[in-house]
Amino acid sequence: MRVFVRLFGTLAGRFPDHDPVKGIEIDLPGGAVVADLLEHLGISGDESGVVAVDGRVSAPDDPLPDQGSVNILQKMHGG
Amino acid sequence: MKFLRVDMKTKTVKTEDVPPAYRGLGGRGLTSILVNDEVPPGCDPLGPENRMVFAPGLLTGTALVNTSRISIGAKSPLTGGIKESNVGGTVPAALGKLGITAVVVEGQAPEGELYVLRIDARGEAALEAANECKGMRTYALVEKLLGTYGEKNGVLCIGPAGEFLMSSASIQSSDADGRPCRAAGRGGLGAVMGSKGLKALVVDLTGKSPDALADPEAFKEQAKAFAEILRKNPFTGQMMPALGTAGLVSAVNSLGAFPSYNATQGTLEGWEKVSGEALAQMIQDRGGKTSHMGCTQCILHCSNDFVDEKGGFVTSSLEYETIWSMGGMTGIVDLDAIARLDRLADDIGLDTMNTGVALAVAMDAGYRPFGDAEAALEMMEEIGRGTDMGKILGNGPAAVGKHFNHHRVPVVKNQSIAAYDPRGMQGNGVTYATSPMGADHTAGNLVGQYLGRALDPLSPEGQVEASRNAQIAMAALDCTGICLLAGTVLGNPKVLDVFLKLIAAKTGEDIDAKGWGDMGIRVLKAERAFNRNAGFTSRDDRLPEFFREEPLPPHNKTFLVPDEELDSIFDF
Repeated sequence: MRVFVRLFGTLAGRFPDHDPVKGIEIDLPGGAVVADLLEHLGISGDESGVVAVDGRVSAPDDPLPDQGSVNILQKMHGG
Repeated sequence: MKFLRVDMKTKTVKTEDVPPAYRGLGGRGLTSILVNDEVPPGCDPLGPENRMVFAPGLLTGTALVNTSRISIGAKSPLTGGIKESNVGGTVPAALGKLGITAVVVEGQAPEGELYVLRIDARGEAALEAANECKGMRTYALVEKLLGTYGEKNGVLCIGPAGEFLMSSASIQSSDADGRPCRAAGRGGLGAVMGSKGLKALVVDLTGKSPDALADPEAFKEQAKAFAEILRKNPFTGQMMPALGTAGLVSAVNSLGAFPSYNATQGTLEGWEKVSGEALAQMIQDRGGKTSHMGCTQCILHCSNDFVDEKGGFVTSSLEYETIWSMGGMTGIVDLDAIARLDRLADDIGLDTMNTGVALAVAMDAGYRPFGDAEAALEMMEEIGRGTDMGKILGNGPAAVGKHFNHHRVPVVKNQSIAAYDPRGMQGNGVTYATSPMGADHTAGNLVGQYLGRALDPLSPEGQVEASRNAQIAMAALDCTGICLLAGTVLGNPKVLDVFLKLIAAKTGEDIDAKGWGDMGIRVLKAERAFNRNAGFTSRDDRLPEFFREEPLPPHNKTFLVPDEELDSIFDF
């Protein structure tokens, strides 16, 4: 399966191929879930990666949308 | 530990020891409790009976990082209730280092007279005539005042909006580079200052007579530990210096809760162009500062210096809420235009949030099209000149809505909401509805909990309890002078313990987590009592009707928390 991933916060800088508008394309085995994507990208818990799909924050075991878009944010607080 | 009592009628300043009832209080706790004690709740907010209280936090003036913060309190001309608005910069720490617990301003100068309150390096204060400053915008004013009194001074001041007594008038605070770019924006306190005939406070930054610490060694040790915690935390140590609060543009748009086009959409089309990431890249490419120390003793450096294409300074700091109000709500997807609007707001002395939303309501009512940056800039100039339309705009969204008979006015107690739509983040809606301050995200913001999946932002379940806890914690935090962003680490009980040890080492009185909560509750009770005595009822703790009637795309939810639950929030 393929997902289109856009990275925000301080995460994007780690991926030289990341385009701010298009993001990066990631291929994963079929049936991959959110935790698999974070692991594939090497985003650890300390970096507080937040995966948003269709305007909702996903759980680690939520499925990923094949050919769909995913935003990876970082946990933030309001200011 | 002293109060400076400033009487604008007699032009006298008296110094008094802090009365026993106010000892151990600081910041919002002191402003709200003193306002509740001394200001007649039914008074005209712009009349002589209203009093203004400027109170640095309990820890402000100590060596602890990120504590240059001051609360300003009075009865608000915007909400008609009690108001506390806090701000950073250099003056808060300077007052703390002078051992000044609060400056209380009462009475009014005769009409047409304007004064500067000068506080020197020994903490002695006097009112000095400043009629030549009449009508001055804040950047020129601060340059003039620092020219007169010296560079090693800090300034709190009003611009033309405050002199015009507009309900969106801010009090601007000079930053570490001597620019009036930080704002106590909310609640129209600049108008209260204008009504007193007080154009500015000018405070010497070299004072060295802070209150003695009860346990200096313990304080030093815990202050070092706390600074280390902030440096190591991913949010305060990495994200804030990299992106500042503007990093939230991506997060809140990704969750569909970014009120756009006057709160008719939850996602701004093209938000990527005004995101924190785009902002940082643009500033970097142009040679500005993506990270900058705005406030004394700050180690987060969430501030930035926005520059134009030629590298010329435009404004500092371009932050999330302003990008939202001047960009999201107006549909102006252009950082250069937003930065110019921000600079104008600082210069005229206006709350960027209340003002941006006022422009958005005018656009929604058909006065000007959404997305028209030149029209927005013209409207700001009208406010600065005090034209008839400018006065309506400068009095905020509710005044604009009334003028145009437009129903969609996103305010509570006349104060605009912030950059989290109540339909997309239901708990923030609870805070807007019930905070004694009117709609105010800093009173209890749950965005961190939504991003951390602690709570479903779209469900009404659990929102009242979460908002209650956040409002209590924020009321306590606002007493201390720690900046809100640094204070985000206090959610961890071990870190809170370090912080409570700091308070104990300052005051000499132990405080535990229960005592911390009790402090917040005491403040909220005083604020609620003032509002009740000013005539507020539970009907004032409501969102405007359209939030329950008009679903917000993309989730197409309305605000779902029942009124009865809202009314139970302060059952303590």
